[in-house]
Amino acid sequence: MRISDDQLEKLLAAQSPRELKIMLARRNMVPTLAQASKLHKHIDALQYPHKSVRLGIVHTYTSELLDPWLHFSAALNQLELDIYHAPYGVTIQEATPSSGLAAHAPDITLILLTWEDLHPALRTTAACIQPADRQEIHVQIQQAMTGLIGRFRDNVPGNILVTILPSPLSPGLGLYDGMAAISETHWWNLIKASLANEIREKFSAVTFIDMDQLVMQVGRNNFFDLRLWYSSTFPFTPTGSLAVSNAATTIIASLHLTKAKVIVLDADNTMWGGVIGEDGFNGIALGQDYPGRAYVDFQKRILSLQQRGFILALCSKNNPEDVLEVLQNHPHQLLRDEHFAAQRVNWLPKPDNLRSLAEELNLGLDSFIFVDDSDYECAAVRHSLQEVEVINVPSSAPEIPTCLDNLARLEITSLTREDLEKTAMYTQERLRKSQFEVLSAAGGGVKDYLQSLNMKMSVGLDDLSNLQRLAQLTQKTNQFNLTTRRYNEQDMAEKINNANSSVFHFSLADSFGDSGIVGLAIIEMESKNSARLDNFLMSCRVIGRMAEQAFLSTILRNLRSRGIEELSADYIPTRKNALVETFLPDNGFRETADGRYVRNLLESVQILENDFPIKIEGPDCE
Amino acid sequence: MSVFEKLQEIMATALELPTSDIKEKSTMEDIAEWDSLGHVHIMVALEQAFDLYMDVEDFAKLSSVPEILRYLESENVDSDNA
Repeated sequence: MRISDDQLEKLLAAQSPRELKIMLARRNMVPTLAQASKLHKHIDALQYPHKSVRLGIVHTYTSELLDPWLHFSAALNQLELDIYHAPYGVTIQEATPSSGLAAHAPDITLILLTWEDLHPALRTTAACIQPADRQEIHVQIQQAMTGLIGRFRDNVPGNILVTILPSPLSPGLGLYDGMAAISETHWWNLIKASLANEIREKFSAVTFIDMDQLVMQVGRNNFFDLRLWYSSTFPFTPTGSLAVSNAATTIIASLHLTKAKVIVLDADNTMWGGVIGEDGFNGIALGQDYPGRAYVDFQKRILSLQQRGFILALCSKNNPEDVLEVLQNHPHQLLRDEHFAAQRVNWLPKPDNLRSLAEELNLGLDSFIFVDDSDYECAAVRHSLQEVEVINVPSSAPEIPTCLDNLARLEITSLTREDLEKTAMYTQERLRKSQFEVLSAAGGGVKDYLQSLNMKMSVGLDDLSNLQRLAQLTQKTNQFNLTTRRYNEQDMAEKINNANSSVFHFSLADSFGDSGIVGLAIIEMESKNSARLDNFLMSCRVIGRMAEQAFLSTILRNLRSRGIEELSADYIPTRKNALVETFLPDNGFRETADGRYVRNLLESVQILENDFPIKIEGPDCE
Repeated sequence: MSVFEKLQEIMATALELPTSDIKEKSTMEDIAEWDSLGHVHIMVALEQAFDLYMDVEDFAKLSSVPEILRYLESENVDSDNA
């Protein structure tokens, strides 16, 4: 949609890059180049912090014309791009250590391929490829793509984004295509799905962007410009250019911004229409009619976000029994009591509730996204908790289901088992707490409580099959983290494969459930008998169960059995890791004159004894 | 704002130049940034700014400011369209 002068004035009043991004997206607005340039200047004038990112683009069609749109959408995502375009079409040559791309040292490499690049047979129409030949071509495409991406992965640092340009023309078999046994669309989807699977399973830090989804968002005829495609090998209209740029920069932003972890939802006029305290159980809008249908869809959206690995919390000014009645008994309510890891339904100020939620969940407020329809509540949270990202729910019901769609921090580039089970784990934690309270009331101490949990720790070493989770832990853990050194999947794979590095991890199970992988330590061998603790971290989810000591002692025993006599370590203070300030001295490390720490592994210190209320399975020690 | 001034602004944005670099008699040869990619930027920006749909055959013909102005006049564009 074109932007009128009046609309442009409104856009130029946006108070943040993100607000501007949301305003543009909600109305499908596409600025002219001149308007984009004005909006970009406005963003610069707001002086929001932004992150500089080096982007390399490898392409088999003209990519330079994307530049103004990439720079504009980068600004919307609080990024500034330094872009290098590889020479046109020389895809393989760029995947060498001496290439221009490698010299650019990109943080991100965007690989733009066309459908025809995948296989020579695709230069003709897919409808002409006999069903008997399709399987073989499919396998060859998979091999060629894995080879190509592998070469880039081996030779280029940073994250890689791959996307394949769909055909700008409608399917060869026309309206019948969706029904045909030799359907182009079905075959293309099959190939795409298997490529995505290959990339996910074989490569670290490589993301496949499904461009078909972008085409669907705006429509094929709005996305492609056939005049530019045939005359300049540039496929996109301004609308298409902006959609592609937005997708790429949103993913880049999601990789570089502080990770969001918690979505805090309001109830009235957010989960449902109306006010439960006034309209009553049967009066709120939630169900099969307008506007209730929109709220049902919004709840589906929230459930999908939970599947992406975000924790849900509820924060509502209401009588708790009114809200609980809806959560438990309303026939159209999808978000039930058990979906929320924590709840605050009371009349306290929302900033206070957010603080106490952060405490209960053991997570920083800068990982919170607060979703509320009330201008007053949003302003109150913005004012007193600047680190919380605030989303004001639109007043128009049809706009509500998509109101969280354009947030970079809600995009993910991997999905681990831990992500899928996260809320269940927080629910288990609630149960542990009540067990502790029951035991304390009966006069039991912490030790009795820990014994009662029947904990089992499983320690693993250099486990490539958990690469995503191991990298993710270094990215997401802030509090129990000795050095806060962050590693992406590629860095982590190198450490795992390197004989001089050891990556330990642990998971912890007890009578309430299995935590999944929640702790990580990286050891760098420095000589035959000395090593360095590069990092030691643990998810806050298992704090207070002596897991850190059990994990450390297992590592120390393993190192000792490998002839290591001395382990050096650092504590690098950050705004958030005061929790581990004394972890090293508390565990037998001696502070040296230069502020580092050293531990002699030959000294028998109590910590090496296996006296934890935890049964440990792990790598061979003695 | 005259059509020329509007064009100046559009071309300056498309080529990332100061508006003063775009003169009434400028041609593709005079301006280094006005290469084939720059030209596509200008064409797309013209379409967006004046709400036109141009024939791709016209792209190649519009290689100077006077030619673009003549084209815009033939399309009955005045600065209010902008």
